[in-house]
Amino acid sequence: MFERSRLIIVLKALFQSSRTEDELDEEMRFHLKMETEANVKKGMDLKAAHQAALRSFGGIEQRKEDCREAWGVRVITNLLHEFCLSLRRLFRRPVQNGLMFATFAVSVMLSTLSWSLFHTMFLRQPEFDPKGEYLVLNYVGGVIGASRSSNGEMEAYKEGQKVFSDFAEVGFYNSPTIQLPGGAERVLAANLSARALQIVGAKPLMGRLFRPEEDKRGSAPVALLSQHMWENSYDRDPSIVGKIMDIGSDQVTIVGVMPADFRFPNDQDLWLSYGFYDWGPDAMVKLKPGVTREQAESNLKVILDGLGPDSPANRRGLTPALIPFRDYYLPSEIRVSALVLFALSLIFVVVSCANAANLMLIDFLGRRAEVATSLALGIPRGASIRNVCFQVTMIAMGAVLLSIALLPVAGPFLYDHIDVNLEPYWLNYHFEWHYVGMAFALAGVSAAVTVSAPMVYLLWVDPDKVIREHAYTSRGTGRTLWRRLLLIGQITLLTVLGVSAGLLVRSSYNVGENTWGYPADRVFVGKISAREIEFTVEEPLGSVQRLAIYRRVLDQVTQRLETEAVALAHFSPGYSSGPNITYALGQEEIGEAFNSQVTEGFFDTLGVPFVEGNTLPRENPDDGPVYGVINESLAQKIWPSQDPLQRVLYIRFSGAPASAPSIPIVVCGVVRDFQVSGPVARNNDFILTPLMPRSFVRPGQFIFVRDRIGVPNVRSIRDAVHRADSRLSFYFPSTLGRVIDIMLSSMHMTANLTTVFAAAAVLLCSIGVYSLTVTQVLQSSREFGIRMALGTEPQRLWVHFTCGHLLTTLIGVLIGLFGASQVARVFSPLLFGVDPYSVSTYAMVAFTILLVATLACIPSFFRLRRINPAKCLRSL
Amino acid sequence: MDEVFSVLSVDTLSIKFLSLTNLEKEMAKKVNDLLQGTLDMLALRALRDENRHGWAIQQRINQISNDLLSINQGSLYPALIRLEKKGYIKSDWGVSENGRRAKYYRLTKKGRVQMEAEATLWREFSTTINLIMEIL
Repeated sequence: MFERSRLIIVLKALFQSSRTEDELDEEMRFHLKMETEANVKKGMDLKAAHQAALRSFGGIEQRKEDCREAWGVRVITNLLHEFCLSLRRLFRRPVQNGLMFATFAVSVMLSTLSWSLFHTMFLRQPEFDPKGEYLVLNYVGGVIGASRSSNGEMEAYKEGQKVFSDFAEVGFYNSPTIQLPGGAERVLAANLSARALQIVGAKPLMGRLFRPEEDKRGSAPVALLSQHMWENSYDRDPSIVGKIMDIGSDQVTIVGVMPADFRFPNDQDLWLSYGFYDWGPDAMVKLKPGVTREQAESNLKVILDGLGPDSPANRRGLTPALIPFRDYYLPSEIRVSALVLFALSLIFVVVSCANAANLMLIDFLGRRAEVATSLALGIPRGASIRNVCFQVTMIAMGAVLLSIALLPVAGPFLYDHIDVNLEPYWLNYHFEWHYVGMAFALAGVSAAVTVSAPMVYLLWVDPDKVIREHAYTSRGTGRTLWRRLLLIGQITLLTVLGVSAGLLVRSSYNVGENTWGYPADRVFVGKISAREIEFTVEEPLGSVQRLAIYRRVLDQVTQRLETEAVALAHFSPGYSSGPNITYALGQEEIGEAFNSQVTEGFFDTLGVPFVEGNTLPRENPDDGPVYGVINESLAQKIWPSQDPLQRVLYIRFSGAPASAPSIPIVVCGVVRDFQVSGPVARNNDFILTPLMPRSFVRPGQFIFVRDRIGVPNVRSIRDAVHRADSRLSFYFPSTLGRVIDIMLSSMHMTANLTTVFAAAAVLLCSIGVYSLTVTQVLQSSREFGIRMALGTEPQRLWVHFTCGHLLTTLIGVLIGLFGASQVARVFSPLLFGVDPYSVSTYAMVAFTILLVATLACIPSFFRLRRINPAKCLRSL
Repeated sequence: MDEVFSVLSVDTLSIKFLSLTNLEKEMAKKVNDLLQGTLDMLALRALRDENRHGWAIQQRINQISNDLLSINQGSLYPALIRLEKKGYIKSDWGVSENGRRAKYYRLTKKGRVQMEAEATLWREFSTTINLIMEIL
């Protein structure tokens, strides 16, 4: 332990150094005076007495040094001295050092973020399974979308298996509609066996967990509520345990409440006992020691084969598969993105190292006379190298500190933009110390590579020669092949990123809010379902009854004072999947469009104006024609320059049998184009027809509401719906803007990340071009000086060598354009309204890069003008 | 042995012996190592009875050793800093007997304990050496 007395002396020596030195001096002088006086008393004269005192003392300065050593702050003061010296150097060359700092900061920041993402996607394990031992028993192959097992199969696996040391049945996803005190609501739920809850280390806030006997089919169903649901839907009812909740026709007993931090596997609000689950269960399993995944899968296959060809999985041609629990939710494209991002960031580190090394070299070449003089005067090369190391280390550490400071902001921002459906809880951003370690490691490597160039220079430079040749010695022409290759590589990378970012940004703009055709952020959208009502009646509801219920909903919502417009529809933009009908004028089909049923207020609610005609009729008689509203472009396509109103066209549903008759539609109105299927649909032509008993009225409908001011309040709409019928379930409340944003999030994420990387690449490349051109001027200064002495204008020289660099840049751009065209092919599914080979985008990026490269060459012109031709001639 | 230690000059790291044979020099070197920490002990001992400034400490050591042990004066100050860092002594500025400002050192409780411990150790050590020398 550091003693207090030691600490006081060290701190005093550090922070009151001049006072401490003065005191030491005074103390020693006092000693000498006393000794002198003593010597005088012994009979010496004053001068001899003083000399004798000095001799016996042993040299004041030497003793002072001994005392400084004894204070124990020598190392610290030396470091502080070096620090101050380096700091002065940093501010003496603010441009170069600022550029180096920016280079380091960008590469360290991006790399640390990429490492965090890489770690989360590939290495981080859920807390309950730190060694990654748990696997999910699932299926692969067979019918797409049918990779679900049956309960019987799961039981057979559990009974017959000899390869697992742990087996817990689970149903990871369930979305039941439950009757809450405020009305029916659909919630996200999961079915877990008692063992599964044990495995994940669940501890209830109140009540108990599930019991093994509740895993069995036919046992009384029980449920655990999330704290959020307990607080919001049950008003923190203290006697909630033991109460009954209705799920469909079943009565489920609430046995406990889980704390807010229990999230498994996603953001569930409800956990139901496994016995109350009959749709495609999975299992969490752990292999016995020595058993491989392949052996376990073979064992499961044998069990499945034993169930005969009628077992659901065998009928669908499915094969049992064991998937690591961590990977179960992660789509492979997200993992590939993380890997590519990490690789890209490492390339950035390499590029930034090369640029920083070049910048350091500029510093040394620019003051080579000063360096050579100091070496010639005997200052050791080691001291100069130490200074360089100190300087670069300070810049690198500054970059690391900035990166670490920005991490709490940049990390969550990045993760928020990664949209994984049903994202598991361990994929959220949370700080880990190895991020800091990675930032320091990357900065350390960058600093080590960066100091290598000036170190080599300092070791090789011949000070005599430099001084003899008036500091115009030159080891090369500055046009070395590796530098050109470095420049080409950087420009290629920049071009690929630039074109990708350009295409993606244009694509994002094309699907932006301005193109949707409706004020999406002001339109509320939710879903209502009459299924709960159907559980309570003996006969299923018909379309007429359903329509009557929905009309009551519309009336109730309309009665809200804030409501400006309200509508129901079978679909919602953002959820629909594009054209579903073909249309014809006679027998011949003309094209494809989207058809769905909506109520008459649909266009008003979305704020889409009518170009011609009127909206759909409220009541479309069963014996009359079916009316339809079409979009302006479709009208122009079918009846160019003609009035489309009251004209008839025929529609047929895609995939309907050939014998099915076409349905005649009479056009009653034409509205302005809007993106009915959402911005990413290739075709947004539509023919919308009325919600009427003649066509099938589905039990679930989307409800759209627009208020006079602001965004509609969810609770007030829910109350209005439940006033119409409290058994109606109301779920997925959102705004149209949010729904479409979620749909576009993956594209936005890719576009944003690519743009960030492209911006970083522009910065790195401009620094690269700048450092290369200036280095060339410095290294070729004697050649340039002689040429100028022979009459060549500096401007001509600059144009000449700038053209050389621009030619190199052009080669990089051309290679990059080719690479970009290949990359664009890969992400063309993400592009909307943009040709992957868009000439304008490619040309704009190429022009921008050449412009940046030209601008980056300008500082070298001023360096060139500083060359003194007379000095160069003298150096010959 | 009296002859060997007739004039002894203690430095922080060296002791100068006069009139020594090679064997005796080698022995003296070992004793030198042994005595390296003794300056600290002597300084503590000098402060046992009263607070003193640096010069007075040196004078006191000379006095109690009957001038047999001659301290290299400048080496006393690093030793005093070491002792202060360890918390064995404390220093304050005061006025000396001739009216000058001087830094006075005083023994702390911890320093007193340390001095006693070192003195005991030294006594045991020298007794052992004496015993061995007598037997030999």
